[in-house]
Amino acid sequence: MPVNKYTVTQVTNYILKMFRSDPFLGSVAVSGEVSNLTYHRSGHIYFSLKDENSIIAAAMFKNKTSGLKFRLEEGMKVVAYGKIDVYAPSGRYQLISEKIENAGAGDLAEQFEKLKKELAERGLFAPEYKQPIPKYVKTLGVVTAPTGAAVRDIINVSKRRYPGIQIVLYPALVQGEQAADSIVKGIRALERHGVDLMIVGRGGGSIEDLWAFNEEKVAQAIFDCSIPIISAVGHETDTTIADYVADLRAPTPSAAAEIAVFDYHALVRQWRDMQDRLDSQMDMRIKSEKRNSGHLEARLIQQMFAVLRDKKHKYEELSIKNDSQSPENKLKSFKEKAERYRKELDRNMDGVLAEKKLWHSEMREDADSLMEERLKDIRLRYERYPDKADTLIMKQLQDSRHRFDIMKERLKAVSPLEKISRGYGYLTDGENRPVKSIEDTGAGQNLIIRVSDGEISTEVKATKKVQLA
Amino acid sequence: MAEEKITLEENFAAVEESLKKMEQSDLPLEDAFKLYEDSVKRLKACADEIDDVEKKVKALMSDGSTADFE
Repeated sequence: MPVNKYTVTQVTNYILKMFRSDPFLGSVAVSGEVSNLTYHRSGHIYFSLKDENSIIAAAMFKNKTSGLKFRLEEGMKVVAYGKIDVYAPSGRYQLISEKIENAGAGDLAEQFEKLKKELAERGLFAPEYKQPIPKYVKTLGVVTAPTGAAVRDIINVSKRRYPGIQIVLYPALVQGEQAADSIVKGIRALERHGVDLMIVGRGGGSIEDLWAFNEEKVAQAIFDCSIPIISAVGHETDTTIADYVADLRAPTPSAAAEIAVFDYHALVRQWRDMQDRLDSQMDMRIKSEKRNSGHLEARLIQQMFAVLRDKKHKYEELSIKNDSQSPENKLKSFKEKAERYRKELDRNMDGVLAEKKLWHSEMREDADSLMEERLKDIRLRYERYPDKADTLIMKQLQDSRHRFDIMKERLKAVSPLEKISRGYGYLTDGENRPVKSIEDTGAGQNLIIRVSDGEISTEVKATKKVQLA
Repeated sequence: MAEEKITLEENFAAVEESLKKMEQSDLPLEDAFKLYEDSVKRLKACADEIDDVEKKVKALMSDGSTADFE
């Protein structure tokens, strides 16, 4: 059996020609479920269509995607219109889609767009109707299925954020024909019951599963509700009419709970921080005031001490002055003065006496030496005249002795001491000045008379001028 | 329901305002103390407001009554 050899390209090109010449493959409508979906950033959409047994690669090129009125989703049942072509670089055949229809509800997308447009025109999505979401919610209403991930997520997240949260759940049907009515009832029941905020939503699902949230009555109920509503339908990529009309759209039920319920722990931290700041502010203030008052007090005390010192000083000065004026002190002072004077007087008198004594002794010495001289003279004369009569000599001796005696007496008479001893006194006034004349004293003056063995205090009675020869 | 939210936030805002005033040293001590007293009261109110309450999840029945959920 002859075997011809071909290149890969030759074989691929042959297959490609076969596909392209086949009238059936050139225009087909293929129904199947979307998988391996990629919205490529080039703008092309790559996906696969599959059923229970088979899978076929598919693509919709950028130039055709504008005709696609809804977003393809994994698992979505669609009908894709196009041709089967071969893609040589990967050796694969694929369905090049010109148009894709939602097989489950081919008209649902249209209904969605129509309702969205209509509600938008009626102003249900208008930002001015959005109610603010309260920051601190204590009672949270939830309209969702009582079972499933959505309700669990909401409860868990809410309690984690604020353990004290009260959740009122309206167990609603969120899927099927009764769902829309059930959701509307739930919203109204919770509004009547009274909650701070509502979460209305459900977990992920197909567009049909979520369809209740695309119905007008639900949209209207959300719009009419006086309580703020956060919508939380399906996954982040699912957007429903309810999301447009709600006061806030959360991408998922857990995200809705994060938004709805404040973080209690953060709040407590904030609270504590404020309390601390407040306390420390007050504490600082009080400390500073204390410091200030302490300074003032210290200054006050210092000032007070200074004043006291000053006063004490003045008092002492005054008291010294006063003491000196007292009779006792005056007397003392006088006594001291008198004592001083007396001492001075004594000293002076001693001086005078000493002087006089000296003078006296000098005089005596003079007199003695004079006497010696005379005796010598006499002796000499006597020796010179040995032949004179004894009597003459004796007479002369007697004479000499006599004269000597007289002179001695005379000398005695000139000595003040002698005078004093003979009843004369040395007269001075209070100032120790000698009283030499009546001019030196007057009646009433105290005078002191010094005699050989002491002083006599006396008072002048009167003075009289007397001529003493 | 909205008034509670306002109270909490208003209280925080008021305390913040008082703190700013207290941080100015030229405020007389008496005034500072008044602000402190007021702030402490407000914080107490905040604490009461955000205090833990018994956690509850209730299911609202279609007839308007509630039943414990979980």
